[in-house]
Amino acid sequence: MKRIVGWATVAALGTSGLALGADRQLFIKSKDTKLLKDPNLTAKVVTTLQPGTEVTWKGADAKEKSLHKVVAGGKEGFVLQANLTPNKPADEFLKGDGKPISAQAVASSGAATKALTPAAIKYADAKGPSANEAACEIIYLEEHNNNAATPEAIAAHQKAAGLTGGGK
Amino acid sequence: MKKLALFTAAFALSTGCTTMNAIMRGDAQGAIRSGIQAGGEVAVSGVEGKKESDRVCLPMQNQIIPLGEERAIGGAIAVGLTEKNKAHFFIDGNTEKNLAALADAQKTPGKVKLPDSDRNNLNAYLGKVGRNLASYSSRPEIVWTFGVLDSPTVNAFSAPGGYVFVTTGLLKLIDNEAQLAGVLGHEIGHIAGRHALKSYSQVKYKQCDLATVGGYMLNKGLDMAPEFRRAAAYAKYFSGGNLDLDSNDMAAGLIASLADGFIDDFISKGLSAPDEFEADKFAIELSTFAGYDAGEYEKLLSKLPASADSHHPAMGERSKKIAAVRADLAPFAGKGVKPEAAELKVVKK
Repeated sequence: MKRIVGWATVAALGTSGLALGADRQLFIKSKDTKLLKDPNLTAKVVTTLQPGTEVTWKGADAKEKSLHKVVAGGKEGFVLQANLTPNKPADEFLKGDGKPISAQAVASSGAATKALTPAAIKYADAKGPSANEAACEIIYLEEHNNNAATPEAIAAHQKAAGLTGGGK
Repeated sequence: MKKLALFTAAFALSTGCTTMNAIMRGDAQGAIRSGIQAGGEVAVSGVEGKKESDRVCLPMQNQIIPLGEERAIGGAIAVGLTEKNKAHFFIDGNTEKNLAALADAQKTPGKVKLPDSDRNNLNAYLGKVGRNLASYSSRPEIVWTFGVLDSPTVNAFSAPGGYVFVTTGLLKLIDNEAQLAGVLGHEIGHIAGRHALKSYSQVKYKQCDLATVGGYMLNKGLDMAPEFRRAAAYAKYFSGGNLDLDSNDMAAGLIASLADGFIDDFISKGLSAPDEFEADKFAIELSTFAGYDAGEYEKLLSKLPASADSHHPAMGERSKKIAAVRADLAPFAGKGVKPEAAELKVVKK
């Protein structure tokens, strides 16, 4: 559960042009994240990184604050903050035997069903008309989320709202 | 302590409803008093049954809840909590009221659809803001569902497996998207931290215990009160160590006992203070990394009515911990935006 090393880090500008702080472990959150050689978006790509990759954070660039210096697998470079998260992707479990599958394997496993499961429907049926109605409304909401909150729609929203993921 | 519980179960089975009620209240002494008339054979069988329960059920207390089971119970809890609130979702055009038909239609992509409207756009907006935040959480791959509940009560709640609901009463108090992100981030934190599953594991353990002891005694041909006979009928579902709530032969009564047991616990006690603090930490982390002004979350908390906060730690203590997390994340705060949330106008009319 310890995701952040260093409590109450004080940011300061060092001679390297990075906002200094204790090294901390962060994780890549986006597919094919570019590790850039220099702190500009047109710099040479050192390598691409995948979700869940652990990186050591070295600091935000002093000029281009959305770019952060990291070390990943011994390679140093810069990534956009929008592609970083302090949260390590948690293992998911298909059975109670304690054998994990990766977060990436969840989507293809079928375990992350997109709908109310048969158990919830059986429960609603047994509880009566008002629970039945609540279950119907939740099904509509699930579908509405899946139709309207797509990755493309989220990216458009990030851009419109000026969020970190919107400038890529 | 263990011995007391063991005798409690043995006596309870022989004396029916009064004793069972005492057990359900956690009143072991009351259970023993009302079970004092139990015969020796029953007591001995109860002891043996309890041994079997310890073998089958005790490991469940610390067992990881698999994602399928989490989604199954989470869906039931989402339905149950919505029904308990006596509220409807703030949506338009949900014309199909037959659950079986709707669940069937959902199997065809695009068949279940809500029309374009201010209310539906608000729910879509919550979905976009929420799913973006969840992508920074430790559980980015589960399917997240966000929705607005039409209720004047100032509240937000989540159910295991990815369900997050906010009332219109709370949305009325929200000034901008950064504040909304804090609320959604807090609820995402409860799910990512699997907080509610701790209570669920305890409810599941209690059901397993009753069912296994009851099942053991039923096999011995001992007479029991109807409540215990019902619980005993669930013993077969627990015997394999895993509980498949979605199986075709799963009893609706057991799903209801688990979901309603959880809901009653949740409504009376809420979640623990450490879990609430951790959810606050998630709220700040997710908001910050997504690019919001995380200070807006605390601004919103400070103006919530006391009634909305009855299960949360004191605001002063929360503020201190929130300030520490914000200081730690200062290098990631960037420009910290607080976009206008025009979609909220529909609840402020």
